Amino acid sequence: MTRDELLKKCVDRGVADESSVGSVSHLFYVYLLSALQRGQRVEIPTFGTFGTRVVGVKRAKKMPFFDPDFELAEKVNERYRNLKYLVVGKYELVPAVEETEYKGRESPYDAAIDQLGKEMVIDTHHEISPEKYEELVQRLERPRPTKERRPMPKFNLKDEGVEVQVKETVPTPTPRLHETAAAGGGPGPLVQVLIAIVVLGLLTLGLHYFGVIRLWGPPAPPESTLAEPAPFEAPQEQQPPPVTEAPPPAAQVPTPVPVQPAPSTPVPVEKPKAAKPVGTGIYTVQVSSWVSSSKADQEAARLTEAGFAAFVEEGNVDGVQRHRVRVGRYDTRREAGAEALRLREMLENGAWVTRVGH
Amino acid sequence: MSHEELVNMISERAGISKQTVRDILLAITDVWSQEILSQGELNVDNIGEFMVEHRPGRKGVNTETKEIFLIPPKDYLYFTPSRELIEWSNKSS
Repeated sequence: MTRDELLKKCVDRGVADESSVGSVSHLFYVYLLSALQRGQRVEIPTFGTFGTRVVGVKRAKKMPFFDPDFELAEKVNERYRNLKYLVVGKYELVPAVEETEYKGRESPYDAAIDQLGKEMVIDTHHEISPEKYEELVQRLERPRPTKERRPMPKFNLKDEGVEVQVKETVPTPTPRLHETAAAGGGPGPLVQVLIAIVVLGLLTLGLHYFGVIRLWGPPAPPESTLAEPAPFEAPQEQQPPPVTEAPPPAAQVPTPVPVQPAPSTPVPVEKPKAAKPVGTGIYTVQVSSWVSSSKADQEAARLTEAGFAAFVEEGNVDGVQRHRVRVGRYDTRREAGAEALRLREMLENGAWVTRVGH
Repeated sequence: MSHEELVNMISERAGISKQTVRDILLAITDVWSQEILSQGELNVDNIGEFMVEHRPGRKGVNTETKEIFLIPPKDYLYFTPSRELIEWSNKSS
């Protein structure tokens, strides 16, 4: 519709003269454009609302839309508003029509609407069998199932006027042991025996672990090896008693101080054969090692004749008792090394620095 | 922008009373809607095209209850904005 047609129709209604109608229509158009530019909506009663909405994501742009008023939409849809049922596929009255054939107001259902008096109109876009059609009609006439609304259960917090149903508990007789065994409830005799074996095995293993009994492994080392490093301190401590005779009177006095040296002095396994007095350092020089104690003693004697402070020390190597011939005791490794150098020149097997008790 | 604001602005700008502006606007929209209802389509210059289209009825299924029902046919009013309207609404002020 052009502007002239619109003006003519409006003037024909006798609202106002042509100039005012023209100016108002022009201003309406201008304000509509400015409102859309600002993103506002323009509401026109009994017609609809103009507005913009954003369309697209990457190349988003504002798209104007028109939302028709409810009255106008109802008027547009007037023909189908009062229809009672609209059933798909009434092949008898209206043939199947392609969807593209619908256009505007020219609908192929006008004749059908006139025939049925707006009670039953069949909108067809695909054919169905008559049985299917009747089934559909029955389904439509059936009232819609309404959901049952269950009342909310009332919570009786104060326990007023409610009879509490107590369940009668019948005490079941406890079955005896032989009965359960017969019924297969308890473990069978074989299982009991197995459990006993397992428990016993665990017990013995535990005893072995804590050292109460000994099941395997090397035999317990003799006490002498345990007290190996001590004997060399023994001679020094043993020498004082015959000289001073202090312990007997000290023992009579019940003070703890003199009692302590007595247990601290271990049993001397072997007295050193060395004539020269041995030092008290932790480093020493080892010359040789023998299985037999007699050979070790011979070697030590030979060294003492030569002028060295030799002695024999016992050691346990992989369960074999060894007799080590060693020379001197030194506080520092350097002193021991010097002594070892001096010995190495004289001996074929050499000499090396070790620590006492190792 | 509400209808009242539009009427006020137009009356101020054109120097016409508000009541006449209201009547004229009502007459214009009434002419448009009459045209739409009678012809099924309306092409307004520089604004866009109004079109009545038919949506045929179709079968619908309620997904919860699997019940088949029929969606009735309906006539809808569609609006296609003109190129000028689209340009103006995307123009930065």
